[in-house]
Amino acid sequence: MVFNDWPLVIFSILAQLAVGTFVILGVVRLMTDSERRETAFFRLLNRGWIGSFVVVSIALLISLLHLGSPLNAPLTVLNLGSAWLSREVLFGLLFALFAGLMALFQWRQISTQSIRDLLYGLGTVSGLGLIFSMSMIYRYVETQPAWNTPYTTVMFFLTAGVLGSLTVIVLMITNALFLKEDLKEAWYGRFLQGTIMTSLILIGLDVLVYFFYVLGLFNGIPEAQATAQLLTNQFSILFVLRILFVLLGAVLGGLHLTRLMKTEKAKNLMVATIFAAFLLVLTSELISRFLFYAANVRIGI
Amino acid sequence: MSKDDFLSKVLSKAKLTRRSFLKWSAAVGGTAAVAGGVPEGFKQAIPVAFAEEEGKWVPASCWHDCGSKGFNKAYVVDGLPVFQGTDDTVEDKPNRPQLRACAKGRAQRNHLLSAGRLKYPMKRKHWEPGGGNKELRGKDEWVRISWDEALDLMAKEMLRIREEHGNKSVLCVRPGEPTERLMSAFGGYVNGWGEHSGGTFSAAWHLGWGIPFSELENDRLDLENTELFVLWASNPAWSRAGIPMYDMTRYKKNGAKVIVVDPFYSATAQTLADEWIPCRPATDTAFFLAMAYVLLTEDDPEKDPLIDWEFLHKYTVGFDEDHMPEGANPKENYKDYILGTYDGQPKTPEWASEICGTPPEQIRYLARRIATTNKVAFRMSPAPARVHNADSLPQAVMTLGAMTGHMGRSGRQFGHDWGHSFLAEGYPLLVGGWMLTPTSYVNGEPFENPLASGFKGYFGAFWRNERFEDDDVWLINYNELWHALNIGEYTVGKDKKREVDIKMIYHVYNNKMNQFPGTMESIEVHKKVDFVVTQNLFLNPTAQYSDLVLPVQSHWEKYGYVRMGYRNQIMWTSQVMDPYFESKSDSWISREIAKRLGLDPDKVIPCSFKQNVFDHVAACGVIKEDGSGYKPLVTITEEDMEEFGFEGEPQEGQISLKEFKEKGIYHIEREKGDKYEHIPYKDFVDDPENNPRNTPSGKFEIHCQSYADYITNCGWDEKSPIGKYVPPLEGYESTFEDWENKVKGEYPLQQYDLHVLRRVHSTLDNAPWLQEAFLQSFWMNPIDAEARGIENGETVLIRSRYGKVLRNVTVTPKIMPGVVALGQGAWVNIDEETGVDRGGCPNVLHGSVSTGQGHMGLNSCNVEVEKWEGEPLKYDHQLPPLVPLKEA
Amino acid sequence: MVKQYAFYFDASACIGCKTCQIACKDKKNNTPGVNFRRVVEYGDGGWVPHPVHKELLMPSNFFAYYVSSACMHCEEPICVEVCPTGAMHKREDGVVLVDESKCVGCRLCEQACPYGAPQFNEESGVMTKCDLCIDFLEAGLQPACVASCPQRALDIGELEELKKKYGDVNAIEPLPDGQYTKPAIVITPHPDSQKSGEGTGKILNPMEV
Ligand SMILES: Nc1nc2c(c(=O)[nH]1)N[C@H]1C(S)=C(S)[C@@H](COP(=O)(O)OP(=O)(O)OC[C@H]3O[C@@H](n4cnc5c(=O)[nH]c(N)nc54)[C@H](O)[C@@H]3O)O[C@H]1N2
Ligand SMILES: Nc1nc2c(c(=O)[nH]1)N[C@H]1C(S)=C(S)[C@@H](COP(=O)(O)OP(=O)(O)OC[C@H]3O[C@@H](n4cnc5c(=O)[nH]c(N)nc54)[C@H](O)[C@@H]3O)O[C@H]1N2
Ligand code: SF4
Ligand code: SF4
Ligand code: SF4
Ligand code: SF4
Ligand code: SF4
Ligand SMILES: [Mo]
Repeated sequence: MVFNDWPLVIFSILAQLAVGTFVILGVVRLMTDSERRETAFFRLLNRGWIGSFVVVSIALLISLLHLGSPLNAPLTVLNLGSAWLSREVLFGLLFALFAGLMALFQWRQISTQSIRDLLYGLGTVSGLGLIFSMSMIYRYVETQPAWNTPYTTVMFFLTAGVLGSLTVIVLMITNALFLKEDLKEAWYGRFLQGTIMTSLILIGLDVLVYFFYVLGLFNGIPEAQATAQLLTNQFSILFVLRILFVLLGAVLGGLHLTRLMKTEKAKNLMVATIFAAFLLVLTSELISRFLFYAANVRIGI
Repeated sequence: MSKDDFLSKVLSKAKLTRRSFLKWSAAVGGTAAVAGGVPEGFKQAIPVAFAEEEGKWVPASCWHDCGSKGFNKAYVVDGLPVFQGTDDTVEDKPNRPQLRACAKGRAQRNHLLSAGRLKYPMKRKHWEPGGGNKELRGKDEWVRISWDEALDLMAKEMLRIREEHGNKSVLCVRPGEPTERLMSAFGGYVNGWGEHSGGTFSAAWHLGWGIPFSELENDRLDLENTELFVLWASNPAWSRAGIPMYDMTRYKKNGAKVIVVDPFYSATAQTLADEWIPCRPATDTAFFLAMAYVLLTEDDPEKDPLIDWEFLHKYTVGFDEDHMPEGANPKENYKDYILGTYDGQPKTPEWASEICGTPPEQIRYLARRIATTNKVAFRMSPAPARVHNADSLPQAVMTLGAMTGHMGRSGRQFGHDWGHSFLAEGYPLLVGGWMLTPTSYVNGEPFENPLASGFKGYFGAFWRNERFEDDDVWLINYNELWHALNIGEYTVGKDKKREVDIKMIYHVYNNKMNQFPGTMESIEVHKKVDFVVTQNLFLNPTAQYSDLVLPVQSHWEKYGYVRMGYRNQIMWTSQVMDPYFESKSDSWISREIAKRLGLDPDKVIPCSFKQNVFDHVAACGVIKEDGSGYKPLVTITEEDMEEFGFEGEPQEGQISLKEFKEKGIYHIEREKGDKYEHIPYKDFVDDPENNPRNTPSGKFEIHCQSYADYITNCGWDEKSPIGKYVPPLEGYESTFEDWENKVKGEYPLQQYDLHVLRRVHSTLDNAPWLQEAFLQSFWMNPIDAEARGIENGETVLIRSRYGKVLRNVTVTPKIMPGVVALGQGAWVNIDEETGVDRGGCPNVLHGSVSTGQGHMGLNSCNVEVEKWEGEPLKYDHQLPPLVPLKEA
Repeated sequence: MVKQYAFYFDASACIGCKTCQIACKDKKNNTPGVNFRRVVEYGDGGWVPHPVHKELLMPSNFFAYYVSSACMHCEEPICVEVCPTGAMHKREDGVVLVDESKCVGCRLCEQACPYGAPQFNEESGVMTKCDLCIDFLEAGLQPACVASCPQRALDIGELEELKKKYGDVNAIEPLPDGQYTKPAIVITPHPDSQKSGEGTGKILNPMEV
């Protein structure tokens, strides 16, 4: 089988990662006292905004690869009235814009905190709008049972949450390593703990929702059942890896909470394990998304 | 126009900015470049919008021997066809239906402009006078040469071969008239004899049944009265594209019932059948005998009348002891044979069931259903007759028809269509073109092959006669042709063989390496002789094994063509485009070779192509209102002749020359009860004394000595004068090593061939659109597949006593267990390393063997099938096209 | 003026000969792989031992029929709804068309359409599909496929009129239920036709469509 939806897999995962990172960084930012927002640690954390902007921009460029006639791309916003794809493009561009401004303002310390808060708000809204409309493109296609379900939206948001939180964790831990600070002592230790907790919960939800999604397919109309069978037969290896990787990632992430944060010398190991966790989960999500596009049986001929 | 003109014309058109519709044809002229299996010629998809003022519709020929007729036209813009259309010249209604073309006809443009067309004369690189390295045939390189070179070389080698070996060392099978005239003037050539299509029906006219052509089937309007159709081995949906299937569908919609008897759940069965009764191929005679048994044993003239005794006694001889032809042994009657009086084997349904695989109660049911239904039309294709040793089948069919009285009466028929439905329905109401005269040069001098004198024209050598044994007649039966040439000896009659040593083979207008049984031996023969020439449009298998290849024009590139449709249409199609590159017409080639042979070209080809077309047009006839004969169809005036540049006499007809040329087709509207209704044998049935059958007894001969003698004299088998069952050379029985104990042998499956939608025999097999739409399948039942661990779509090896073929299997319940099928006509493509055919040609599996009347024996051969462990096959449309010459 | 053009298809007459498919291919000059009209074979069947003569096998539950399908020019065309550029659009007379100059080639319409009607052209990078041969219609001719059918199994006309003439079946297996897009098609079922979504058969020629 030729699979030509790779650009879509990568685009959607990267875009969701970018939005997730953006939003969670903002939460951390809002929860931090304004004086601490000037600390070295926090300034390093600002790289996340830049990252978010760069990733979403790359994602948008990659999405062009999916088009047969990329030169017509500007026309894709013409059908806001009915096409979720148009809305996705619009939100995508807005998010990139706000993420870009946010990154620039944070980095160069331009304008006031409250304007940046406003930017953050706008970015969050357009980011969430991006994910929502992205999911609605697929939910709208009634003829694809693999897509035409509320789970699509939930899964897309969960992907954003899981990958976003893990990105933020990675950032925090590498920052700490860079600053040679002791996590146990540092003021941001509780943020890290909180984020890890969040990501573990999200991963749990992610697995649970995926389980119900596939169960739903098994109990659906014939085409849905055929889709589910594709997952468990033809794509069974990938299907198992998808679950396995995300769970492994969770275990590695969980280690930080229970063991690694508590031992002082473990910092290099910490970075290695958190990167591994991140990569495992990212791979799992990529597989999941690949299956989303590849394993579907459309109603009709 | 020279090739450069053509190319530049095409190329310049490709650059047209107005509408660059010709991008495909730009590449047609281009090289063999292939991207992703897509022939260069069809990469571009820029459709042309129809605009009346920009182009014009030209009636375009589809001249293939598919047995069915379709009317095509091409929409031509600036000299190039941009798309096709079909008959819309009349309003479509059942009494005068439009003559719509089939999928193959609609792919003509794609075919004729595809990258595989021959463009130039070509010579095999290592050929030299006398043959050169003969082993290289089939794999040598091609060298482009000029026409002058090609024709000089050909004439020189022909003269040498005649000088050294004589005319009887030159083989040329049914080449079409321009070549026949040339080769006759050259002093003669060895030809083939026989019939491809009709199987054992070919000589069944001895019985007083089934020929002439107009006596095969009832008129299509009369069949509206039929209550029950029995379609036996009849798949008009595939092999009678057009009106015959359309009519069957009408009858069905008007309430007729349909029973289909066939090993395959065919498209016809799917669409029409109320009941489908499967039966193994090549076993039909047994089935018929058992039906006769049922009627004989269950008939009770009072309570349960099943047999039309009056019909039998009045119109037939040989059914029972009391009605034997003069001089016949009374014990040799059909009834006692059926009952097993003398041979101890009653032909019961149980006996037949074991052979044909149909449950006994279904045989009983069908017999009774035919006997107890008032109006039954029985239609058989000649497919079950294209079986070795099936010489009794026509007798069995005719006899059942006589027993049930379904002959010579309205709505009732017991017939077959000889594979060509235009031969059915009755005598043509419009005559002309190809079928009109023995020569297709209406005003040309008659000609005769000095090595077959007395056998004139195309139909000359269907049947054997005593002359075959004379020294000046050199005709070899089609089926044993390749074997005979391989061993140097052929059959001229009973116990009579003759040595033959062929040095030159000239293939024109056919593909007999591919289409005659024994392809593997044919290849051997081709590697032995001194000189092989093929004159064709494509590099087909015979061309691939040739030394010299001459590119010919299609009918789209010539002035015109006149051809009959079914009973009610005649077509005059016109030139659509300029000749393709350097291709020439068959008649031009004959003239040019004649010159070089020192013959008078005007004797060989007596007039210009255009004048000949005109002569045909002028000769077209239309039936008179009272049905008493034909009158001229076309009105021709002095002005017409001046304007078009023809010579001839003015005449009065039904349609003006201009209108006929423009429309391209003329229809006759039918009316129920008109003078043209036709029921075969009706005059005989109405008045047997004054309209006797053309047999010694004047009746249908169930016991037929002349038929038996004819077959015996052919030299392969003895035939009983009655229709006894003879197990075929390779049938169901021969799949067993031990029939009594039912132990299967080395080749446990029955393979038979289907005439498929993809192509007309081997023609159009290389049309990319058809390749994509119709895979070259090999059909196998899931039960047989499972037993061999074979899964749908896998590549399998099919082995017979004669050769090996690779194919991707279609596992489907639509074919009977124990039976497998290939579509006939696929181009053989031998893998030099393994000797296996990768193309799927069934004649690789068939042996070059004649039986009975020397008819084709293609519909049963024994094979074994196994999973292929080598590299899987790709489907044809995924392969690069076969391009004759890789040029810069 | 026509309000909604529609195809008529007679499944009881269709013999799967693909003349329509090739006529369309020819009219549209389509590359291999691109077929605006396709012919699907649907059916099933098996072989069971004879009750008395066990060695004989008999066909059981046999059925098969063909469906020739192109774009249905749906009343609720999902392809139009999902199209981001508006390239896919529905005209006043109901014909659904791709404006190739606007199409971005995102292939979403192809993913969405339950009839497989939109066919992506790899060469030009845009979506293409059946345009009901509007150039022929405007010149007073029938679409190429309709005019070609040797079985007279295809026709076009005003949806409401076709419904009056032939009834309102708009789906048989393997076509999807009409609820998804309200296809502008009227079908005369084959006697063996199965209801959409409830079929017991399968597509028999998957490699050919
Ligand atoms: N598409 C297409 N049409 C063609 C041609 C072509 O090449 N392609 N060729 C034309 C020519 S020249 C000819 S001669 C005719 C031939 O046409 P036919 O003589 O009709 O032969 P087929 O179409 O091969 O077979 C018709 C049916 O007979 C069944 N059958 C075959 N053998 C047997 C048998 O032994 N017993 C029983 N009971 N059934 C059997 C097959 O399953 C099939 O359904 O077709 C003509 N029409
Ligand atoms: N195994 C098997 N073999 C069979 C059959 C079968 O059922 N099974 N069927 C048999 C039957 S019924 C028949 S009728 C035969 C048919 O067998 P053939 O008569 O050999 O028919 P084709 O294979 O169509 O070959 C016709 C050739 O003529 C070429 N041609 C077309 N137009 C012209 C022209 O104007 N000039 C020249 N010079 N060439 C032209 C075409 O390109 C093509 O190569 O096959 C028989 N062979
Ligand atoms: S292939 Fe035969 S049936 Fe088809 S259009 Fe040509 S002549 Fe007619
Ligand atoms: S042309 Fe007519 S009969 Fe043939 S496949 Fe198409 S719709 Fe069916
Ligand atoms: S059939 Fe498909 S492409 Fe055609 S209008 Fe309906 S949804 Fe759109
Ligand atoms: S491929 Fe073209 S027509 Fe189809 S949805 Fe995308 S932009 Fe619209
Ligand atoms: S209407 Fe025209 S474009 Fe549409 S399927 Fe028929 S032939 Fe093709
Ligand atoms: Mo034939």
